[in-house]
Amino acid sequence: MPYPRGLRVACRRGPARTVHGFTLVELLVVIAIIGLLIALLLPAVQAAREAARRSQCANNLKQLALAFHNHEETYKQFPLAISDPNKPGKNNWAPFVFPFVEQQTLVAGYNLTIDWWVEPNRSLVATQLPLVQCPSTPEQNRVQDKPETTPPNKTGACGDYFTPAGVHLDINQVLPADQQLAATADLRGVIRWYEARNPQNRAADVTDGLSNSIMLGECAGREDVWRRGTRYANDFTSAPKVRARGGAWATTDNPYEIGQRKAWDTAFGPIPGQLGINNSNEWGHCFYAFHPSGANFALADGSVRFLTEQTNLSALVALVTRSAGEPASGL
Amino acid sequence: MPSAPLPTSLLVGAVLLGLPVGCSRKVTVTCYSVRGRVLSAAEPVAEAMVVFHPLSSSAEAPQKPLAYTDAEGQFALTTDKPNDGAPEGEYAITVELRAPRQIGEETVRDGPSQLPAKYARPETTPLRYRVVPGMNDVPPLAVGPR
Repeated sequence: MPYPRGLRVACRRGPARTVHGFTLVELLVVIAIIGLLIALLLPAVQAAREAARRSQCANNLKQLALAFHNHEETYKQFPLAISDPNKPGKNNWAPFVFPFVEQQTLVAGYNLTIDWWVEPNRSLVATQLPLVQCPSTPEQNRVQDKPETTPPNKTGACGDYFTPAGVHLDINQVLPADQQLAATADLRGVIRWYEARNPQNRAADVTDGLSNSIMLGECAGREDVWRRGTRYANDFTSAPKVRARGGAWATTDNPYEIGQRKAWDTAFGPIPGQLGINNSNEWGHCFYAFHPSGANFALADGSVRFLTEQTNLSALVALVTRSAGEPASGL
Repeated sequence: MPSAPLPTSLLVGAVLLGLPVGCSRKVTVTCYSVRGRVLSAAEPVAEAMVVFHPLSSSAEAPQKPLAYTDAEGQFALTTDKPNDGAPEGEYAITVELRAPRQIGEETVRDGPSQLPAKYARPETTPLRYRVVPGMNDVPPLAVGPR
């Protein structure tokens, strides 16, 4: 087997040995080859890491969906998206389902008749929970700290998942002319908030079918605003103010009806871009995740699905509504 | 084979040409800046929602141009990019000043409109405007008494 010239010189024994080592060109070639290999491998490694994160995220949604079902098993109803406003205590669905997903120790001291930002809940809500965090979100362990005119601030650790409360009729601004929703359509979501006509969320209310209705989705990265991958840092002091409302995992701002295009501070401008998955994480808009090309969803039957950004908006509406008489098909 | 390079270059050319087409996700329309003001009894209407509903096919966009008025009642339409305006064509304009309503922990303008009901629906609104190429300064939109 022929050796490279430099190497043969280096191996020769005897007094005639004059030159040894590698030439500059040889070293450069080796470095270039190594660089090329790294450049080839890096995207594959990154893709594998993202696949792992996406699967972790899907697992979180699965656990949460099962917790909703265990709640339903125990109380014969899913929790409300937001606790009943006629009773004391502002809390969302999270502290209601956490006992069913092995977070009893966390919620043991939680008082559901007290607002989430008030003690004893305040110090519990500061807990960063990997269960409600999508690992693909660039900034992990975020904290909502919203100033209030009367203290204390509304402060709590942030989550990346929410329960779509339904569809807002403003979505007609975006739906094609032949797919407009009627003003009388029932656009409630699986996990709806309290209304006189909706005192509770029962599995039987999901007449479109549990397998055809979204229970949980991603709205990642709140309270920073994200619009198509561009981050606008949460800012309560500048003009316009910047906020993707509903960051903390216990806040009653967590659930919303999808289909709206209004920023939290109107002066920040209407939400640009095409309304759909991964356009903006602002309150009331749609779903937002940091997975390339789509987002994870937990359906009401406990299954987890990945829907792409190209998902037809009417199909998404059909999936979010629980009893509009249009079981989503063709997905 | 002398003919071999030609199909190869054609193939490469087709791939290169096909790439940008395959990557463009949505059909974009050309928008022209549209600014205006909403008045009620000569007073500016703040926080009103202004939506342009296309009447001509040239105005069809993936979503309707939208704006919210500021404290002086002024607005600039957004269709796809911030303040990009609206595509060329004829529009019916709806103006709503939704009543404040508590949702979650905040008061959101999401109740019934506090302006006359006819301005809230594209079928009944008397407000019309034709967007033309260039800058569009909409004459003040008078939306009647509150």
